[in-house]
Amino acid sequence: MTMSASVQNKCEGVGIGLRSAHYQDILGSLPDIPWFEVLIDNYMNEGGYPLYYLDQISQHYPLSFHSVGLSLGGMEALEQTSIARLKSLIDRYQPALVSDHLCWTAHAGLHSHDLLPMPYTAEAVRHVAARIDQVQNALGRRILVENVSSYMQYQCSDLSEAQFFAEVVESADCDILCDLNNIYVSASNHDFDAMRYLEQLPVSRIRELHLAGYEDQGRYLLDTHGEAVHAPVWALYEQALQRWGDTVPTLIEWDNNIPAFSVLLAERDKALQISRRISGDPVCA
Amino acid sequence: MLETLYQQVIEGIYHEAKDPPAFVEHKQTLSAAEQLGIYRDSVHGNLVIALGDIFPAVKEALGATFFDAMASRYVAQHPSRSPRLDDYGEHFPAFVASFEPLADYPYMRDVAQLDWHWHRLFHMSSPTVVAFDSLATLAPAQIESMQLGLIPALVWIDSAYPLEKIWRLSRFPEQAASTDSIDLNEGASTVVVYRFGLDTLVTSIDPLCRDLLIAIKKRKSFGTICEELGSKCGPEQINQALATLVQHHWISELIVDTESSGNA
Repeated sequence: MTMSASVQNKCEGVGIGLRSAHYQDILGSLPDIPWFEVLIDNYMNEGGYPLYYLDQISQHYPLSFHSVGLSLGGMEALEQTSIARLKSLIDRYQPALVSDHLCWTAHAGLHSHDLLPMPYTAEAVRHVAARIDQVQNALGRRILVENVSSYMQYQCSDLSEAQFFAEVVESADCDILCDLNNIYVSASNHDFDAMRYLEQLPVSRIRELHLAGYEDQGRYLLDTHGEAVHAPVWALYEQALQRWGDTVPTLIEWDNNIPAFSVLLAERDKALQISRRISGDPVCA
Repeated sequence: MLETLYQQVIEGIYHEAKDPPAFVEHKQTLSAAEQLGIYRDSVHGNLVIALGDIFPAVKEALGATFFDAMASRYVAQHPSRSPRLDDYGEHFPAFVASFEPLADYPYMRDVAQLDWHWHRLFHMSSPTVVAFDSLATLAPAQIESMQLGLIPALVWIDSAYPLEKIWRLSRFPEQAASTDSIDLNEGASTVVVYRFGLDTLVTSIDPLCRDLLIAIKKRKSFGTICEELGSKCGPEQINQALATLVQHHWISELIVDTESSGNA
């Protein structure tokens, strides 16, 4: 498919996930944040305050759209109403990036509202790649697909997750949103090497990185996005930047137990420090 | 293969299987059942949280522990059937009404209904209201034949209890004085939930306003409405009730028969 290359918005540097608890902080002080990522499923309704605030914030900041509800890996027909609504929001706000997850969320009329892992097989590659292509055609633009954390491995999988991810994005001709926290969580849960995972991804397709926090449940790590980024994920971030350079935009993502906005700014500063260290730029206080 | 696998996973999430799932690899750290159980807990937990967000007054009134336990039972009986989490909880008020431990709290269903409608209206478009300035220029025949329309973002709830007071005490406990108390035997009430601009508002109305809302919704002409309500009250009271609806910005449409102006 042919994509229009340019968008008005640009995501560069370290952005922050937009959450309703921070609308006033953002609009009150217009902090120096290069871009915000919008959990677009929260803005799919006709009107009300969410869209009002999104209008306001879009006047000051570049945006990216992040979706959790397309069920790209699902078996049910793609939900055309949601895709049409997403398209109208894209037309309205012109986000720099649009992404969803390499997972499924519904089957047989039942919805999980959780990111369920796919089996890592050639059949699943073909299936999800075809659906990503459908979505890209419907939206008229390239999308990014994000790796999810997982706690369960299927017996039928005969590819590694990294192989599966790489084959899907090549086959679908889409880009990658690489969530380093999710890789670390899955690597820990399924005992694989997170750095080896990164090495298998096609670098030219990586358009965004996510950083978030997990919870250590003792026998496994749970991806809650409800805590500060943990030290091993920062270390993985540093390794990733050493490998890929610091030009890929990074997002601080925090979905649960939303803290004060200043906490997210502090996380952003940590990411900037690492990025500047890698690029050799002097670290600003 | 995908079809079968997904069916097994979604069933395992919503209907706990007795046997460990054969499609999941066994690990030393976590059995197959435990791995699937993490997803079951996550899906159920997210839906319970969503219900708490959608029904804040019910949650506040009952306390988080009781509410979460009740919500968990609801989730077990009502899997999500919509891709939008905002749609979840439609049957919760009816569930609350039939929830046996709440038998002594018969008003809780109404509180849940109010929460639900507040949530739905919150996400709707801001309504467009009609300007009533032109009403003064209409001939009597036109007023008699005119039809009114209500804004889409408006719902009313009939309750056997002082619903607005109960709901406000639960929804905004920080605004209630420590001496505030509610007489549950105060009598029936009708509460309107509606949008005014971006704000979702709640107010009580008297029986005449309620009857007027019902009649307008049925698309009756103003003349017919006056005739039907005339047995209960005089024209001045009807006009006053109409003024109340207009002042609240609940009227979105005014259809006037231009041909009947010649009869003036």
